[in-house]
Amino acid sequence: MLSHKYMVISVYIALLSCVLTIVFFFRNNLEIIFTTGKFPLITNLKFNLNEFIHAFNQDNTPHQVFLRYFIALVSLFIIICFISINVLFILLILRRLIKFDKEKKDALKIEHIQKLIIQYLYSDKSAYAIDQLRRQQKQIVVDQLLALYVSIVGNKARMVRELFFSLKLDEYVYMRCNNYYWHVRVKYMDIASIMKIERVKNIAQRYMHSSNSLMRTCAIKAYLNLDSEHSFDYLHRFKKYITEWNQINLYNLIVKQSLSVPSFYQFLSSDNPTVVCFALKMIQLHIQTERRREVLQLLLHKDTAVRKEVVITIKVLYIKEAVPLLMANYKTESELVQFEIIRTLAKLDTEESTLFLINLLNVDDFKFRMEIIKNISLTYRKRILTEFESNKEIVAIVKHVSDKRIMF
Amino acid sequence: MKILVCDKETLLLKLLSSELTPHGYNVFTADNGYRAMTLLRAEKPDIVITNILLPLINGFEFLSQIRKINRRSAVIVYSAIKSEHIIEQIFLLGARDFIAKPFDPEKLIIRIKMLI
Repeated sequence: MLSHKYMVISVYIALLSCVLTIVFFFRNNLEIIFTTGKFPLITNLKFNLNEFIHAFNQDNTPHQVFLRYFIALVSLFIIICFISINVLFILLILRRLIKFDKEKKDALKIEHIQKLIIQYLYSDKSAYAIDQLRRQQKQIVVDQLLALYVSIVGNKARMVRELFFSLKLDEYVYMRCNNYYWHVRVKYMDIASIMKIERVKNIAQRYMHSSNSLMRTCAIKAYLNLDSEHSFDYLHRFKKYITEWNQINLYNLIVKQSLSVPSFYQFLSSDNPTVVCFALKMIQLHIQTERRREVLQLLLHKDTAVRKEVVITIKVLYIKEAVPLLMANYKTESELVQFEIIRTLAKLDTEESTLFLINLLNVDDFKFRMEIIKNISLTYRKRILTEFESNKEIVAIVKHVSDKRIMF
Repeated sequence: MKILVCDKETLLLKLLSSELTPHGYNVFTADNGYRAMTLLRAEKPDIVITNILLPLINGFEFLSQIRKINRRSAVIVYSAIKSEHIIEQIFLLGARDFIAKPFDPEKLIIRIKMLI
């Protein structure tokens, strides 16, 4: 954003200086060219160029006048380009020099701040160090303290956190969490969640329903970190789409931050299908079996993604009671869910589910036959071979699937 | 006893140096792989404490170089990546100990004493 501003200003200054230069240097000559259609003679010229110009000016045929104007314009254009490039080049060099100088100064500042932090942690001059750190650029102090805090634990980590709060950097972070630009809010919300600045919870709650998915993910992450007691309650009110990426982030948070895992069955009644899908995935991952029969009710959910996830959950939780329901729903389901039902029935491996799958082989569809034979247990493959001896396709699939050189 | 500490985070390097120096160790620090290699050749440290993620030279390459340059150095590796495969590779490359990040700098002394 800032670099774009610089570019626009640079181009503007370049153009302005070009115009001023042309007006200053060529004000008399341009006037002569454009009023008389003739080039002015160049004084103090030792070559015979003046004679040439004189001869060139003599001919007043329209063609010659046009040629003179054309040459004048082209020369003007070349001069403008030349000056513009030079000005831009000078501006770029200046910008680079300013940038290098800033980097150098920043490095020195960082060095000084690091020295003060170490002084606070290891010497008895901690009061002096705190006093000095208060005068430093807050952004650099926050970055340095955070980089150290995420790397260590124990007494020193506690001291770093104490220093953070005694420098009132929590107020600075809180203020930045309210910034106009979303990328600043994202950065500082992340810092707040690491440093456990609880007052940022309210801001995080506000942005949890943001239309910007990155902002939303970060706000959810911060909220979960800052309110571990009611961490997942927001899902009851959540109306936005939870992307796969968000779901991975949430799961990582549960694992890494050791958040208390609630019973995800409470979210199965949500109106938001993505929340239901997420809850089902969490039920699978945490093997929550206490209310497993409730999952079966969702087999008639209006959303295909939810129905597919329910079938997967049945497979993971090994709910054998679901077999009749799955068989009954099979015909009315979409192809995506049908494949999942086949996999689940094969995994549940009951007598009736296997018979159902073997009967399905009569449907003349290669994809389904392949999926059934691939998933059905090894003992039934021999039975299929004898039952469908005359069907070349099925025999070929069984042989292919049973080939030990191929990994499925 | 000479100790070489390598990490891209300069503040962590300073902290580890301040932690180890009072215990009588001569601590050298490097914030990138090249500097670490130079110090390894010049100072021949007894112990190398390194993060697996280093700028310019990757930590694994640095580990294999330690074996070639100074086989005598005992290596402690720390990393935030706790994947079994990576830890296995670290030990195969000659590391004597692995510490998961974040770690307690005060307890690092115990690990070092165990190595000596």
